[in-house]
Amino acid sequence: MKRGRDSKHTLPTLPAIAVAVCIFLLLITPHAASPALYTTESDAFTAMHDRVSVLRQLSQDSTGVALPLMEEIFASSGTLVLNINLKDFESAEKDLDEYLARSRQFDNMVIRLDMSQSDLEEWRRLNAQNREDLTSLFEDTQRFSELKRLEIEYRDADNPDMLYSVMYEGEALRSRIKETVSSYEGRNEEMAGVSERFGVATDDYTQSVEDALAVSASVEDEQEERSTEIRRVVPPRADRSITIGVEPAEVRYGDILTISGRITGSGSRDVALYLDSRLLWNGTVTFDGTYLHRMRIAMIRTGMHTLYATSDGVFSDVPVFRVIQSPTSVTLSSSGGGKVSGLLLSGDIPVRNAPVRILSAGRPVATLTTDEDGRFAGPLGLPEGDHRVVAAFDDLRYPLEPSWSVEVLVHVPPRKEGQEIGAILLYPLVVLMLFAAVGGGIWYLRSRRPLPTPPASFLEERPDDTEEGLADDIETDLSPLPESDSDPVLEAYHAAAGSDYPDALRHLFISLAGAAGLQNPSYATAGDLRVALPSDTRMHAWLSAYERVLYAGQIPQDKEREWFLSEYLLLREVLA
Amino acid sequence: MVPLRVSSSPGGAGIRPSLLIACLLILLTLGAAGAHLQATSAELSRFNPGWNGTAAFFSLSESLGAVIHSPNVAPHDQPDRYILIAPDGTDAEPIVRGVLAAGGIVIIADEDGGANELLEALGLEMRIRPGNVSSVDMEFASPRTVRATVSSNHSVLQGVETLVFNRPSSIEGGEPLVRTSVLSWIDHDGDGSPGSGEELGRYTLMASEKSEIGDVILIADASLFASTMQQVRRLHDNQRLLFNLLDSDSVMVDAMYGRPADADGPAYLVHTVKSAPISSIIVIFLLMMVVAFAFRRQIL
Repeated sequence: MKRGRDSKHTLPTLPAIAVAVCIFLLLITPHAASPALYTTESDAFTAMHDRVSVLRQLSQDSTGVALPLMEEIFASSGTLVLNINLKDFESAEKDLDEYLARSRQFDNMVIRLDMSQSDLEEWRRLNAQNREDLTSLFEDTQRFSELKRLEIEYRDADNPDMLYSVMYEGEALRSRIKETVSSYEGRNEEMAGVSERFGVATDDYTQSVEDALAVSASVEDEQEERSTEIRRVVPPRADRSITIGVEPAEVRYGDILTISGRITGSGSRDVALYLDSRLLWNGTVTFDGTYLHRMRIAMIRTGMHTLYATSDGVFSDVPVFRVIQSPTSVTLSSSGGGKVSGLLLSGDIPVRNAPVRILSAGRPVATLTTDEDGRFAGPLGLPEGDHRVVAAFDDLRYPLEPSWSVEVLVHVPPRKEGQEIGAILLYPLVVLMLFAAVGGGIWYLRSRRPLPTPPASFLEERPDDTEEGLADDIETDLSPLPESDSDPVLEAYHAAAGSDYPDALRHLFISLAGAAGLQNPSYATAGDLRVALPSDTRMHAWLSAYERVLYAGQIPQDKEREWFLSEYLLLREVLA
Repeated sequence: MVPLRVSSSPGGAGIRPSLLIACLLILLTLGAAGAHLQATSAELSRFNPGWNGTAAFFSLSESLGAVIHSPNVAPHDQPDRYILIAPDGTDAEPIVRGVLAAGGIVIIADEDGGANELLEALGLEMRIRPGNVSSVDMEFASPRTVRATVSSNHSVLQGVETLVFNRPSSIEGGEPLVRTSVLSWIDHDGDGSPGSGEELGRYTLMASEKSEIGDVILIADASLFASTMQQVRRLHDNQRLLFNLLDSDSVMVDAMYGRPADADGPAYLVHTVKSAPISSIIVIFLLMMVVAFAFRRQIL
């Protein structure tokens, strides 16, 4: 009687508990994705301190990278101007490339560190102006140097028209070089002041200013001598003349510059306009000998520019006009699906056909081009997850101040369509599984009630089945991996090493980050790898050298490149 | 009243197993409740075992032989080193003057300016300048976790090169011992980046000043002693600094005049009672009364 009562009470109780558990699980399932009763992140800081154990450890020494980079930029500008002064344009071109690369790295760093409102931004702004001047100085002095060869060539060919052309181009270049050097020198005091605030040595920079003045003086003398000589050898034609006028004298992006003049005397009715010694327009004068050309200011450098007109061996004067830099603004927004869109304006004028760089953690991830309305849009090719990106406009070819957008969060969804379907089916599957579990539990309990003895054959067969299954599994797991004949990392490294060594090194770094087990190795930093491998001194030495190349702009020689590669192979082997 | 002495076995008398388990559970519950009532969430409190307390530092201090100066522990005769964390007011002045007069070192860590009153009373020029110093040289993913380097020698900085600070303020006056890099600023608006009025520059986070024949060291970040800074395994030379500060013949750590003495809620009552000099006598008396009562009623 007692036993019967027990079984009556016990047996229905267990399924009831199972059902209750299932109901409970069903009720809490919707909250499974955000079980945020308490997380360490929700208690991550107070007014006095941050809870550092929940923050990502970076060990970031940005000053140790930024200040040497500023000195390197000065050193590059020093050797650049020195080589221009020595007329060694081949070396000067390499110096200019190096200087521009380091300046670009510095710009990226300022954006990455979010220092756009600081004194560091002031230094960056002054350096951007120096960069324009030095690029212009290099191009103009190189062209001016070529004129000497052309002068000899045309003199030998007894071509007075082209000799005059050389003389006029020389005049235009002299004016531009004088203006450029004056602008470069005028910034000296301010630049030195800001640099000294950061403790950056300015000796190289000061020397470069002195060398630039020497370049300008040398060009002045040479051109004076050339003009006197050409005018003596080929007197100007008295029966024909050409005039030129430019309005307005100062223009900004989007303005219209009007160039007009008149030809008097007999001869050809064709006229050619030269802007900064390069052909701008070919046209024909009207019946009364006048000509007119309108030019919209778009892709032209900030600063002074020269113009002259020529027709049938006669040359106009060389008027100048100034292009003034205008501020810009970039807006950026996420369009979903890992895409962004934005707008680039100068005041309320759209900036057309201009490149806008998209940076993530200071690294460029895409370059988008604006359309006629100044709008840009496109995918970023970032891996799935959340990324903070900014849009930067800093193209020197436009008379526009650099600008960048506020940081925008871009979410890149998982690329596999199957995963989305899986997410949709997740809840019904969970519910089905729970019902199956409940049904199975009830069935099991009911079937257990008479406690029948299991058939002997069933008990005997199980171990054999398991062993066979395991053996199959082991065999499957131990099957040899397909061997690859080539190493894609080394292939990528060698492909990039010739043109962009920092990029080549980046391939090696990503490979090491992946081998060290970092998530998203493409977006890992050297700091991440240091934290992941805190006691690997060999790796730390490699990372320090890597940072010097990537951030401080050092260009390693062949021997150092061999070291990078051999150490990489060794480190990769150890990590493997 | 039902007696507890109930026979559970045929051979002799004893406590029933269910009663024993109940007693054990009650004792465990009382123990847990006692521990809970003694703990607090007050910032930098030595009774706070959480990440923002200083329980770990006080535990370390005791393990290294330092005397904790609390209400029921008389001050050390003449410690040669005295550590004050986030002091408020000038109550500690007599002890500080005694240490300095004997040529000792007083270490004061503070970030909200509460120590300035004491510094002024001691006739020192150093002052805490409240305001979050931030830097691009950050140890964690927050510019407020500032890395700073030693700029001048001092015995407590032996073997120390780089320290990590956690939302520090800065120091005016004194001889700078530890300074930030030049790409640092005081983040007035809390946006994590330098803006207008937030000038880049080097800020002093640790300084010293002579007083009589002793030395006062001022640290602009009490968080150096918080448990969260000790929960990270590799934090440059922070651990070394704590060992250096506690490495002396007689070290006394204050737990009376600063935030480590703070407690709130039930913990305040518990520690107030515990720290009263007569409390031990009362507790022992009450326990004896309970035992006597139990014997009289044949409970025990």
